[in-house]
Amino acid sequence: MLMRLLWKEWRESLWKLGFGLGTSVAFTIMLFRIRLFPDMANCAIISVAQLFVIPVVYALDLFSGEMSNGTIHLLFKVPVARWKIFLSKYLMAIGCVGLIFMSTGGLMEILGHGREAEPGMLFRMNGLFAVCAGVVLAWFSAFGSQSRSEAGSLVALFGVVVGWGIVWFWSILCKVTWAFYFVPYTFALWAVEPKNFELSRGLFWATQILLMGLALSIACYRYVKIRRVL
Amino acid sequence: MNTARFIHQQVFQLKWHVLACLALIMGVPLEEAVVNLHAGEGFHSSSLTVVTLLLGPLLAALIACANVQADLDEKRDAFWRSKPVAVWQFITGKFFIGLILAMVILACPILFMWITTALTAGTESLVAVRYLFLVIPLISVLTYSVCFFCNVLVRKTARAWLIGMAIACFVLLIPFVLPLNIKDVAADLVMVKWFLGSIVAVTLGLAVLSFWGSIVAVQRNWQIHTHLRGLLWGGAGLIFVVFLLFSRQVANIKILDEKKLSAENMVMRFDKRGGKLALSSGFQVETRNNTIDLKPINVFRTEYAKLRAEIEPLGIPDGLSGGQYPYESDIYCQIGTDHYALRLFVYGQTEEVTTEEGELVKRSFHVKHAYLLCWRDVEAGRVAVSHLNLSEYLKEDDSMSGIVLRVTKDKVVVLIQDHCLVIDMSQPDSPVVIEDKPLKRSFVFGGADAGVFPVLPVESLDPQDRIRLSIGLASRYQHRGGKVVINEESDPVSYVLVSHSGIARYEVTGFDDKIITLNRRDERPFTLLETLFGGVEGYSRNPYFIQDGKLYSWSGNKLMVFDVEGPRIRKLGHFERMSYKYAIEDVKVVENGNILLLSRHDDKQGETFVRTGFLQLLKNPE
Repeated sequence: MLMRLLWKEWRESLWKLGFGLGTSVAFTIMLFRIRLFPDMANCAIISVAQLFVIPVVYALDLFSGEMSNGTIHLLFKVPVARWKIFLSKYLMAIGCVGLIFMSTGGLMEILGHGREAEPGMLFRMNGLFAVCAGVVLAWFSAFGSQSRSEAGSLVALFGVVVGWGIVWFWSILCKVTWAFYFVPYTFALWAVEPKNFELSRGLFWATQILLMGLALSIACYRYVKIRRVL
Repeated sequence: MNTARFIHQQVFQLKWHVLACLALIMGVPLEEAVVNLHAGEGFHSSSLTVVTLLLGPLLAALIACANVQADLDEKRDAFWRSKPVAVWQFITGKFFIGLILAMVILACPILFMWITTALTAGTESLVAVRYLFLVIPLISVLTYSVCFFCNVLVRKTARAWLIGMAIACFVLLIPFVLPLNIKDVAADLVMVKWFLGSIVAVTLGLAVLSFWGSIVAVQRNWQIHTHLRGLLWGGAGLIFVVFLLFSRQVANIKILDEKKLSAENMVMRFDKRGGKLALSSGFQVETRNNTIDLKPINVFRTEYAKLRAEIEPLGIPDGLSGGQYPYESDIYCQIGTDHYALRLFVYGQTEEVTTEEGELVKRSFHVKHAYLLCWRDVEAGRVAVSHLNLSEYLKEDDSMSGIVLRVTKDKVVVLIQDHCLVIDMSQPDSPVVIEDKPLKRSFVFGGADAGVFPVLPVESLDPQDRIRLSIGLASRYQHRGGKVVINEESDPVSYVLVSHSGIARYEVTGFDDKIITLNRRDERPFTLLETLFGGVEGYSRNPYFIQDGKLYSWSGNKLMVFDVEGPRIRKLGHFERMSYKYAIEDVKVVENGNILLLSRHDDKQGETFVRTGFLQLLKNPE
């Protein structure tokens, strides 16, 4: 049944994948051809733009779409556990976001081959941003899984982005090193300045995976209990 | 319509949005203030408030959308239309109440920053960002108005917000997209008043138009049905076109040719062989048809040893040590059609002052003998020409250290100990000291007031050369925070100061026998992008030079070219290799105007570093 749900999500979000891929590829080709910025800076610019655009595109109607269309009543009548419905949505979103980032990273590697950046560096940087996007999407799910409209989803995502931003600023300002382990944007820092990344990588990964699991658990719980807002 | 009640109802309707926006915009400034308080710097916020101010336009747009949506969704729209109130009055009231609330939200961090900074650190630090206090509210008015209009038409908050923001961004980008010959965003935005004025006019004009459009749209109950998919594709397409057009307006330095250098070319410096450009490892560099050609110089003999044997026939005297100035390469001059290389050889004693525990306190080098050596630079090598003994001008007890050697046309100026010597090199085989003037300590070690320079006490130099030399020597002590680059071709004499904050141009306004007065004519701050990924100031000994009115500035991994002779300083081009393993070693402008760049790349492989060199031919930006 999960496969069928995934197939449904795939069909419904295919245009988002097309949009994400189309725009990412177009902007990557343009920036790498005109070389307005060096390749690494180009990669950073594209990755940052993707980090804030692609999750928004997916988040806008990932959960709220079913509610605003009224299809959630039909979906919940299907004999399948609700957590599977949630999981299919999140997995498809994260998979497509990952695919978009990977394709862009691969394209950047091809276009920048033999130029400024060392082999693999562009793909690596874009990949770390992809992980960051995945974590942001997980946190969005925790807050936006009960959104009934696009506006609600947008506010939830905005809250997540700004909220972690405030924590990030605080950790930088107060030099609270341990707080970096919790902030998803640390992936972006790692990607841009690998030389100055002084955190324990294993611990950082472990913390992020744990937090992501926590966020997804909350999101799943809220989605399962969605009857309250229907 | 009871105005007071209407205002109360509208404000009440938006209270949660206003509070949420206030929390968002005040969170970080309060956080910074608390951190500063803990750090003992007082309860104030500055830098992060500026960052959060950038959220202002987004939040103003959010207030606009919420404001419209509160009364224009399907059921409420029918309700208030049934009341005896004129539509234009209702919308006007809504528009301005929302706008005032948005401005109040925006004013909170500004006032907070202003008051707390004034009470603790003084408002001088806010001078640099004062323009933001005008620009951000102006942009906020634009985003508010446009989003208000969009929501009146679209009636969906999130979509209206996205469309409104896209339109506002597009309008703000239009000046850079249109073919207005804008290359340098920083300089053009700050320096050209008409340009700034036109942006203000367009911004306010569009705001008024949006307001008027909103009234008409509500009166006629216009609505547009949108699809998220179409909106996203349309928005992305619009941004793509803007980027494409924008990229054509922004300068960039193109790579015409690139050559990897082999191990024997690893001495990363340009040199001259017979007046032609060469690598110091002995390869002549030719650039024809936009390609690089390296030709080995087979026979290269230098007669360094011959001249050194003449000045030190028995080797370096006992108890003395030798030194050369300049240390890395010769100083070149052209006399007639011939090219000459000059270098100063000095011999002296190193004196060390230590504490009783043996800790070194001071080390000084006392010059006892000095010789100016001259070689003719031909393609096959260096031919010994002459040497000039300057030892007779040296004193036993020298309290001033430091040696300066400068070339002006056919004269060489040497500053050594407390002497300023001018040497006539018109007959290179028999150079003569034509002037010897005492050098005041205050000239060498500073003492000059801001904007006023002491004049070098020599009369045998051309006035312009004398001014340039004086500035070059004295400015080191006036501008300790930056690097002074003298424009050797400009009239009146000018120089450029490159510092961490930006580039400033100074011009001579008057001079007499004692002082030179200068004025700062122009300045251009570095943009965020220019300071990103490695600073602007480099570690190379001479990372800046001016040629044909262009300043070439390079640091570890970036080269930037600025026009410093035009009415204002403008960036023409930017080249960057963004990797900490890359470093630009030397830059030269070749005869056809293109730029040759030497760079290296150090890659750690195991325990060893593998160095690769690159020689690149770049198109000089115009």
